[in-house]
Amino acid sequence: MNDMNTHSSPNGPRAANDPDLPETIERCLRGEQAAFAALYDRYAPSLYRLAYSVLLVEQDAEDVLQESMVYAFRNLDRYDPQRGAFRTWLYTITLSRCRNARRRKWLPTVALSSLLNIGIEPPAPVDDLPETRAAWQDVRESLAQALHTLSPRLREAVALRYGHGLTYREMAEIIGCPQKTAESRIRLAHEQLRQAMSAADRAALEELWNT
Amino acid sequence: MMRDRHVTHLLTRYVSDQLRPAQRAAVINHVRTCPACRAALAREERLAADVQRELPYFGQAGAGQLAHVWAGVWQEVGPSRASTPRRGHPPTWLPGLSVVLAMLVVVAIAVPLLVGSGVRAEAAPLQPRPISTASPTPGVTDDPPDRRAPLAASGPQATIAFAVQVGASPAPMPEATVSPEAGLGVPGTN
Repeated sequence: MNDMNTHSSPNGPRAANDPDLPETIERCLRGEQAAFAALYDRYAPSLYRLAYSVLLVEQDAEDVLQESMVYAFRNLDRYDPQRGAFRTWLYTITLSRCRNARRRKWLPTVALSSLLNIGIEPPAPVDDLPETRAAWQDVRESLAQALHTLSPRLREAVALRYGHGLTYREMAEIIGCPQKTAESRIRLAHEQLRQAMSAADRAALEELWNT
Repeated sequence: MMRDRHVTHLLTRYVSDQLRPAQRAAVINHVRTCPACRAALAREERLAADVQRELPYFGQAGAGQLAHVWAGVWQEVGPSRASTPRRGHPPTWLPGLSVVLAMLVVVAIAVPLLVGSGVRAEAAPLQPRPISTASPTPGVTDDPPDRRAPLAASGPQATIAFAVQVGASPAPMPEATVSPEAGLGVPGTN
């Protein structure tokens, strides 16, 4: 399996590798709007993806993103680089807000059509044949539906591990659990995803990989 | 059992990078000679790769969404807007509160005026009227003077009515016929 630490997010560079972060935070503390906007542009896409992966409702994910960014911006002076990466701090805030949002409302069942309308930009298929693209689309839909069958805790784990390329140690720090617990959740999520995807989809996936 | 020699129970942890080095080596060595476990491992690896490929793109926000959220964030965080209510609008309850306060002020002013004018109407003594030169017509009544009666009315009835009011009788009262207690049912009075 690929080294998760080198997995690149499609939504910008990692905070741990950002040398401009201390200066940007300092400018934010002086009240510069441009600095706040720069931080927002850099981290909002990832935070929104995390929130949506957990909540599966666009409006809730937007609300959580706003709450999280407002809290982070108002408490920038409390961020301690010695305690962890800035991204980790933001993910912790966002996950906490997601859990609060879940407690406030009962998540409705999201129709597959809603999942398909969230504007996913799929990666360019290696094989450009129409039937291949259609097959990948079927698999993608099946996977999205399978993700929906996971419990919120397992979705959190999958989103952090696969969606944001975090290590188990980082996951544990953000979720607030032992590392072994984070590993167990990934294992359980993997097994449930395998069961949730229909046999036909698994066969289609096999065929695609073998072509 | 034959199944115990297989490593299918380790495959999920293998693809999730959760095995110790020795366990990983055992899986690798086993799948080299076991077609069933090798096929199962291939399926697990492909599923993990599929999830890893799709999840980074799962839930991507549109540009309009992020811009919309940013507007809300800056309204709350912006230094110049730190003291304003959320979304920059005045509180919705302010107009209603203004109406209530205005009504209270009106009531606070109007009620004393209304009550005070009524008290003064009863307590204010009638201006003494010149005593009529006509013979007084005795007629005691305990009825209060008719407020609606024009003040210009003169005559014995006006004088008598005036005299009935307690403590408000600068005019001399007919001694024989009128007594302040007459209308009060005081024993010994007429």
